[in-house]
Amino acid sequence: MRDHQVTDRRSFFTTAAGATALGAAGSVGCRQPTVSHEDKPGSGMRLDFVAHGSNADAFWGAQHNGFMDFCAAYGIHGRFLGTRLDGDIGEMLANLDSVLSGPGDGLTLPISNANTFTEPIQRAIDKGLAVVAVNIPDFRPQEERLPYVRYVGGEPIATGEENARMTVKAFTKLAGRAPKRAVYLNHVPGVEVLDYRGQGMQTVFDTTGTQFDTLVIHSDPASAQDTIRAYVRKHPDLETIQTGNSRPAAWAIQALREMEQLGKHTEPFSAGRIYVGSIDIDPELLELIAAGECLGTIDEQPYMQGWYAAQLLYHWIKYKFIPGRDISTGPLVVQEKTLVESLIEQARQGIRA
Amino acid sequence: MLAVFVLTALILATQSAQFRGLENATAILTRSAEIGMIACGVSLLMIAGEFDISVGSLMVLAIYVFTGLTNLNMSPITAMSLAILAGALAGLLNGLVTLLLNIPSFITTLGAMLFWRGIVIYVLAGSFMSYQGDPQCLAPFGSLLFSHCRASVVWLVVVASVLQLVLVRTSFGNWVFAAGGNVQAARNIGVPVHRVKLTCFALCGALAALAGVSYVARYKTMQVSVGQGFELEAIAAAVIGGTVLSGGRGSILGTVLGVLFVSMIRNGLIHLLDSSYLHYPVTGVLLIIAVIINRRISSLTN
Repeated sequence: MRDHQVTDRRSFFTTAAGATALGAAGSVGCRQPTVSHEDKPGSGMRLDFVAHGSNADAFWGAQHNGFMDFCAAYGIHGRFLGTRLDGDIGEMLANLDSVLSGPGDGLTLPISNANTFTEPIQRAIDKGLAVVAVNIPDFRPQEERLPYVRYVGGEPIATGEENARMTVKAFTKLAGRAPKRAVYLNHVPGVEVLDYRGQGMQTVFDTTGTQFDTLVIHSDPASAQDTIRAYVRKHPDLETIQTGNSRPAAWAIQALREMEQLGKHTEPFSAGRIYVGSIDIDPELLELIAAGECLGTIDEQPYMQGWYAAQLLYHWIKYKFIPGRDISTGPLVVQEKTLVESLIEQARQGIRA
Repeated sequence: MLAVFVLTALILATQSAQFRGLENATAILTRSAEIGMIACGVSLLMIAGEFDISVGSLMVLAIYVFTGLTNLNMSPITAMSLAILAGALAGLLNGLVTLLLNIPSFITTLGAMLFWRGIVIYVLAGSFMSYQGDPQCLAPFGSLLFSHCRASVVWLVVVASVLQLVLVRTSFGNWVFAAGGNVQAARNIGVPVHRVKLTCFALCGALAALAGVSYVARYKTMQVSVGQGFELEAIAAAVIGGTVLSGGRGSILGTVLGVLFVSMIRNGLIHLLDSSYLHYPVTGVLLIIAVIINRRISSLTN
């Protein structure tokens, strides 16, 4: 037998062995999706949640928990598809394509960009899927809006406005005036909802005469803190820091504490101290609020968003029930000590984020 | 690779009814289009013996140039051409720095990866930008042809076919293999190694930019986080498709097969296990298996 024939045969068998191993591994790992209990009211129904964030993130984790808890309670086959990177529209749309190429009864998703989602949502509706928007709506006027059933969630611009109002009110109570300068930390540049939150803050701070900047920071805490420290040193008139998420608020508080410039709302006002106002919740941030180191946060109640999104779909698909208007889950100001302490345990369970 | 691909497709098809349909097959093709264009360029450069890990950032640069220029009322065709030119020039710059200053291409393009994305983030102040030009002009890339198959798939087929033909049928293609296989031997037989590599760097950048234009055609928005991780996915697809890391060996068609394979795994795991995350560890394992198989085959043929 010639050498190349030996090589060819060996190559074939090597490749085949690898392929067989792969196939065997795949077969062992495969399972059919969990079948819903026949005695539950949602048995046989399939609902999908396609998100632009990861369940590893507390916010999307709470959305996931709310959605999947409702599905489990009603015996529905629920599926939550997130992305590895926050705000990755490309991966989100790839997941959406996978959903639309299989069977399903209902779909819920944030409308991260109305132009981008016009065609896939229309495809979903043409396929017979019920569609509910969650977390981010189509901001266009009703007559131009995407034809989803209803929207459930907060309102990003109003969330930003509420964050700024909460900060101005708390700061004015301490100092007797509005802050001279505020900065908004954007920790995931390019994510539209964070931009909208910043716009809301700008609107409020413009009315109080506060100088307002947006500072792009890294999503890595150490790098983010370097940037925050540099900004603080450069702007001695900075009096408040706003964040679009609870994690950068915690990073900012730690950096300010180390610089001995952290303002606490449980102590008398002191010039040169900087106060922090946040959006979204995690257990650490709630403890910081309870300790007086954070002015407060704005809760969109993402667990409720996930839960109600599934419930809206279920009721529409099964009974054609529909509420008279969209369901608002926020913004809710989290500031009072007793409210904060009751939320800490819920945040640890992934119900609050 | 083809045998593995077919066997995996058969296994997934038998395990999941959702996987079998035309809609799903065309969704896999569409998902593969942009990453496939990038992987073709990366593979060509790897065969020539170099790397470019800035392709994700070059994609963002092209998206920014294209979206920005059309929003300033420039003709979309002109804006598209300028965006691709920007990608080609950035790729050429990578090549010049690598070859003239004798810096490993991995390091040069690592710096370029940070530079281009960082510049765009800085210029946009962390915000996003939506395409406001005529949507009809995007139809050559973004329109639906049938089922879930988009025009961008046609572009991938054209790019891959042309590159494969160039690689296996032209003297330039021979030079690419020679430059990647043994630089000194290539020089000795008169191959213009630097010119060949510079051309490959520029092509790689241009293809990343083409993928960026295709992205805008589909998503009509520009986000600075686009393309993160694409460089690793492209290299993984090239290696799974048979391109050797040390250069001198590979196939554009193999790379496209690698891209389709990874997309198929991602899609299949969503249908089988309801997870959009499991394909990351699975792709990692497949990459290592592919390298082992490639090395085994290489040692047998040597």
